[in-house]
Amino acid sequence: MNASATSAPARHAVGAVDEFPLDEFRIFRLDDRPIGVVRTRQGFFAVRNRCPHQGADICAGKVSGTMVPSKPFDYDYSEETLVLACPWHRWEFELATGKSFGRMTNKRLITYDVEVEGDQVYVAMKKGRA
Amino acid sequence: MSIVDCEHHVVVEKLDDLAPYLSDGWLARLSMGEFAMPRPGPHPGAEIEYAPGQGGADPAAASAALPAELSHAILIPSQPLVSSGWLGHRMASVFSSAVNDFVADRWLAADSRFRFAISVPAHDGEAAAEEIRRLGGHPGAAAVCFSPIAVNLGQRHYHPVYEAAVEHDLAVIVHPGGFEANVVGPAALGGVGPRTPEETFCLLPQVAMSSISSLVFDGTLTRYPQLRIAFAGFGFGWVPPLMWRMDSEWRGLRVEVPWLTEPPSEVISRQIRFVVDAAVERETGAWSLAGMLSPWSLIWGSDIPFAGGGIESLAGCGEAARNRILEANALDTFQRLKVTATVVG
Repeated sequence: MNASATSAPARHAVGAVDEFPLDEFRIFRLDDRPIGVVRTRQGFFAVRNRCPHQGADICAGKVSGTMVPSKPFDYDYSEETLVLACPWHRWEFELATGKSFGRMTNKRLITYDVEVEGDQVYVAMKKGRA
Repeated sequence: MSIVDCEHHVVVEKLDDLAPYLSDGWLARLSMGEFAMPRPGPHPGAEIEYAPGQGGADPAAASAALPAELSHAILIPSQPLVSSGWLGHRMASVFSSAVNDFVADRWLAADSRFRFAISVPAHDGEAAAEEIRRLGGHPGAAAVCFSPIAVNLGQRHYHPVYEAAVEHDLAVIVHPGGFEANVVGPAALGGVGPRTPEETFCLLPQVAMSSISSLVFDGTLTRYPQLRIAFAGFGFGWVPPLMWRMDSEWRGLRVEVPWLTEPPSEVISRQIRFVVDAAVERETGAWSLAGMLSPWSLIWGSDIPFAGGGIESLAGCGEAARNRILEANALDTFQRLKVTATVVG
C-alpha cells in the first residue's frame, strides 16, 4: 500500500483501519518521505521515521505511556502521555506533538495529521514540509 | 577582596583536652581499655603530612598564622572524620560531640574569623540530626561535616541529617575519613588498595562519585533543594566527565528516575561544591577542567595543618575565577557566613 503521489496531493490513503495492528507502526513512503503510521488506543498518529537526535528509524521503537515527573520513588505511570521511544537511545517523543518528553532536546519529531473516513486511513501532508 | 578558607583542620592532641566535654562515665570508658585518640590525619599515611606543633592543635598559633585578607576560616576537626571506621557508633557520636564542644569553647574565642563545622558521625542519621540541632543555633556554626560510610549519600539514612542542616542554613561538608576501602562500614574503593597514600588519593574520587550519583539519581538533592554539599579532599578534575556521563545516561534512562526533571549536571552545578585544597590537582591543565564546571562549583580550603596551606593551589587559575573561588562562592555556599556573628568563647 504505497500511495506516493504525482501531483502534490493534500493527503495519502494508507489503508484500512483493520490493517493497522495496535501500537505497531507501518512504514510508508509518502512524497518521498519515510513516514510511520500507528493505531493506538488514543487514535491514529503519523510521524517521520527519523529520530531528530541521530537519525535512527524511530518507528521501530516502542509506543507506550510513560513515567511522568513525581516525588522521588513515587513512580507515576501515565497511560495518557503517549510516547514513542527511539530504539537507539530511548529518548521519548510525544506522539501527539512530536516534542521530546522530559526536554532531552529542543528538536521535534516531525508529525503529520491522520484522518479516518469510514474505514480508510489518510495521512495529511503539511504544506511546505511534506 | 577577602578570602574564605573552607577547610581549616583542627586537631585535639590528647584525650584530657576533651575531659571537660565528656560525662564522667564516658571519660572513664574512653580512658580505659584500648581506646586511643585517633591520628590527626584522616588519611592513611597522613603522618607524612602532619607534624605536631604545625598549628592545627593550637588555636593561638593558628590564629596568628591566618593571612591578613582572610575573612573566615571554617574549622573542620580531623579526628571525628576518622570515626567513620569505628564499629562503636555510639562512641563515635559521643566523641564527635565532645570535639564539637571543645572547638566551640577553645577555638572560637581565639579569633573572630573562626567558624566551625559541626562534626557528626554518619553511622546514625538520627543522632547526627540531634547533634546538628543541639549546636545549629550556635553563632559560630557554619557547616556540618562528616566522612562517608558505605551507605551512599543519597539514601534515606541521611534524610534526618539533611533536614536538620537545611533547617539551620548549614551546608554539609563531606571529607574522607581514612577508612575508605576497609571491609566493614566505610565506603569502598573498587578493585584495589589503597596500599599507599598516593593510591588512596588517586582512588578517593570513586567514593565521591558514588555518592554524587546517589544524591542526584535518588532524588535527594531534588527533595532538599536548599541543601548544599561540599566535597573536600576529593579534588575536582573527575567531575566534568562524571557530569557528562550522568547527563548522557539520564536522557535515555529518565523513565527510571522520573523525579529528575533536569539534566544531572544542572543539579550538581546548583547544589554541590568542590573544595580546592592541598589535595587537588595543581597542574595548569586542571584549570581547563575547572572551566567545564559551573563558575560556582569551586571553593577554596587551606587544608591546614596538612601539606600546602597557602593559596598556591590556585596558581594558574584565571583572576576572575580565582576571586570567585576564594570568596564569593564560599559565601554563597555557607549562608551562615553572611551573618555577622559575635562569638563569645
